[in-house]
Amino acid sequence: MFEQLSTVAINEIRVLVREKTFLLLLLIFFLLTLFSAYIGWSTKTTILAVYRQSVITLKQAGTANIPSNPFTGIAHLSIFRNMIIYIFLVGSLMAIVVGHRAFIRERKSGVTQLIFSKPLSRSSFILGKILGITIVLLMLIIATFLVSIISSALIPNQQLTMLEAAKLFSFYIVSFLYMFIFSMLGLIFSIILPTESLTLLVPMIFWVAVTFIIPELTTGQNPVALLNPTNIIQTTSQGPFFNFMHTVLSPFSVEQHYTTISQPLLETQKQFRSLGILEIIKQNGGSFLSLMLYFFISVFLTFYSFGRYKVTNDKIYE
Amino acid sequence: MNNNPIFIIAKKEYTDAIKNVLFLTLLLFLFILVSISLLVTAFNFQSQVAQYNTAIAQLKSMGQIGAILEKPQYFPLQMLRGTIEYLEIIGAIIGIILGYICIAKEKGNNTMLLLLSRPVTKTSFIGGKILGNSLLILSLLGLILIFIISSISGIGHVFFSSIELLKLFLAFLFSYIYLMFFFCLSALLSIFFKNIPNALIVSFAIWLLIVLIIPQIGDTMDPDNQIPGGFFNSMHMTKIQQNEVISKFRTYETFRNALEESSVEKHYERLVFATLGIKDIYNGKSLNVIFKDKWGDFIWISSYYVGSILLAFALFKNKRVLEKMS
Repeated sequence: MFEQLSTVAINEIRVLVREKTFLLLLLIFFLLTLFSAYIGWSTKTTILAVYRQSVITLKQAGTANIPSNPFTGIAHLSIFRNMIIYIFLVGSLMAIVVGHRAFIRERKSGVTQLIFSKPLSRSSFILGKILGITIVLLMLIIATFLVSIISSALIPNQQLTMLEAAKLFSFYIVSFLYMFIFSMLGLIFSIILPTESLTLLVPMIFWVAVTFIIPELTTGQNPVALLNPTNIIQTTSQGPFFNFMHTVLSPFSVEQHYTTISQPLLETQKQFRSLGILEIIKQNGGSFLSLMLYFFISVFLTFYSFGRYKVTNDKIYE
Repeated sequence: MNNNPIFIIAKKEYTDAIKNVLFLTLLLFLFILVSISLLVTAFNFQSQVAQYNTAIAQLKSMGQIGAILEKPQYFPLQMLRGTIEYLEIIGAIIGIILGYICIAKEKGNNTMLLLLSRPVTKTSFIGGKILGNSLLILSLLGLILIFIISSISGIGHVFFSSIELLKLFLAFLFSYIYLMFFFCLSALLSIFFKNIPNALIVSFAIWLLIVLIIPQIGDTMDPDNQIPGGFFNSMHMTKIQQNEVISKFRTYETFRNALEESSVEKHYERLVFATLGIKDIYNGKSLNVIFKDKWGDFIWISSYYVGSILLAFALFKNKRVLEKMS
C-alpha cells in the first residue's frame, strides 16, 4: 500500500510543479512574501519618523500635552504582519487551485477508469493525493519561511532572535493548517461537481464567505477594511445583532481562528512580545483546536466524497 | 436591424447567460452580499445611535450638557459602502466569469470557427459578444439598483432625493465601466490561451493583484492607518497640521500613491466613494465639485474600459491567435 501511496503522491508533486498556472501563483506568493518584509520595515521606519515630525509640528503650534509615541517598542516580527492577510487572500486561493487541479486533471482526461482498472485501492489513491498536496503545501510554507528569514536578515537592524524565528516558523505552520483546509475544499468540489468551471467557482464562493462575509457579520467591518491588519486587531462588534452573530458564527469563522493565533505569533501588538509559543497556544487553545478540527473534518469529507464518487459514470462538462 | 449579426449574437449572449447556472449562482450570491452589507450597515448605525443615546443619558444624569457629543447623522448613500466594495470584489469576478463563458462555450463546442465561416465578420462576432454582455451587466446593475432603492425606501422608510438618485445612477454607470473592464480582460485571456481553464486562473491571479493586493499594500502603508481610529486623530492634529507632516514624506507618499494609482480598482473606488459621499469630504457636495476633483479617476477607468475593448478587437482580428484556436 505504501508503494502505491507514494507513487500517487510523487506523481501529484511532479505534475503540480510543471503546471504554469500554479507556478504563476507561486511566483506571486513569493514576491509578496519578499515585498511584505520590505513594506513592513519601510512602514515601521516611516511611522516612527512621522511621529517625531508630528511632535515638532505640535510643539511649534504650542501644544502642551503631546500624546506619547504609540509605536514605541514595535516588535521585529510585526513587519511580517501583512503575511496574515496574504495567507488568507493568496495562500488560501492558491491552496484551492492546488486541490482543484489534483483531481480535475484525471477526470477531464478520463483516466480515472483506467487508473482503477489497475490494482490500486481507492483509499491508497485519495491518500496519495492528500499526501502529495500536503508535501507541496509544506514545501511552499518552508520556502516562504526561508524567504522571510532571508529578507529580514537583509534589512538593517532587523535580525531575528531564535525565539522570534521559532514564532515565525510556528506562524507558518498554522498557515499551513489554514491553507490545507482550503486545498481539501478545492479537492472535494473537484470530486463531486459535474462542471469544470463550477468545481473552481464553488470553493471560491466558500472562500469569499470565509474571508469577507462571516468576518463582516461578526465584526460589522466593511470587506476592504478587513484587509488592513490594523483593523483586524480590533473587533467592532457592538449591540445585540453583532453580539448574536458573533456567538452564532464564530465557531464557523476559520479566518477568525487563524488571525487570532497568528497575531500573537507575529507580535502585532506590544503585549504579545512577552509571550512564548506554548503560552500563545494555551491562551488561544479554542482557536487552535478549531483549526485542527476543521483540518480533520476536511480530510474526512474528502474521503467521504471520494467514497461516493462513481468511476464508471463520471462525466465532466466545460 | 434584426438581421444584423451583431444584434443576433448579442441577443444570443444575453439569453444564454440568463440560463447559465454559473452566472445565476453568482448573481444570487451578489444579491445576498448586497443584502448582508445593507443589513450590517443598518445595524451598525443603530448601534451608533444607541451608544449616543446612552452617553447623552449618562451625561445628563451627571448634570452635564449632552450637546457636546456629535449626533450620528444618517446619509442613505453612505450606507452603500459595503455594496460598492462587494461590487469591486464580486462584481469583478462576475465580469471575469462572463468573459470566460462567452469565449469558452464557443471554443468548447468548436462553434467559433464555424460561425466565422458564415457571413459573420470578426468585428460583428466580438462586437456582438461585447454588446450582449454589456446589456447583461447593465441589467444586473439595474436590478441591484432597484433592489437598493426599494429596500432602503421600503424597509427603512428613507426616500432618496432626486440629486441622490442621480448620484446613485452615476455610481452604477461607473460600476458598469469597471465590470466591463474585467469582462474584456477575461475574454481577451480566453481568446489567447489554448487551455481555457488556465485563462480563468490567470484572470483570477490578475484580479487578486489589482483588486485586493495592490490596494491593500497602499492602504497598509498609510501612516494614518497604523492605529485603529487613525494616527493623526490620536495625536489630536488638525487637517492642516497633518498635511504639513505628510509633506515631509513626499517620496514615501508618492510611492504609496503610485502603487494605488496603478490599480483600476482604486480609481473606481475613489470616483464612486466621492460620488456617493462615502468619503466624508464629498458628502453633500454638488456633482460639479466632485467631478472637478475626480475627473482624473473617471479618465483612468474610461481608458481601461476603452483600451480593453480595443485590445479585444485587435486580438480577435489577429490571424495567429485565431490559428491557435483551430
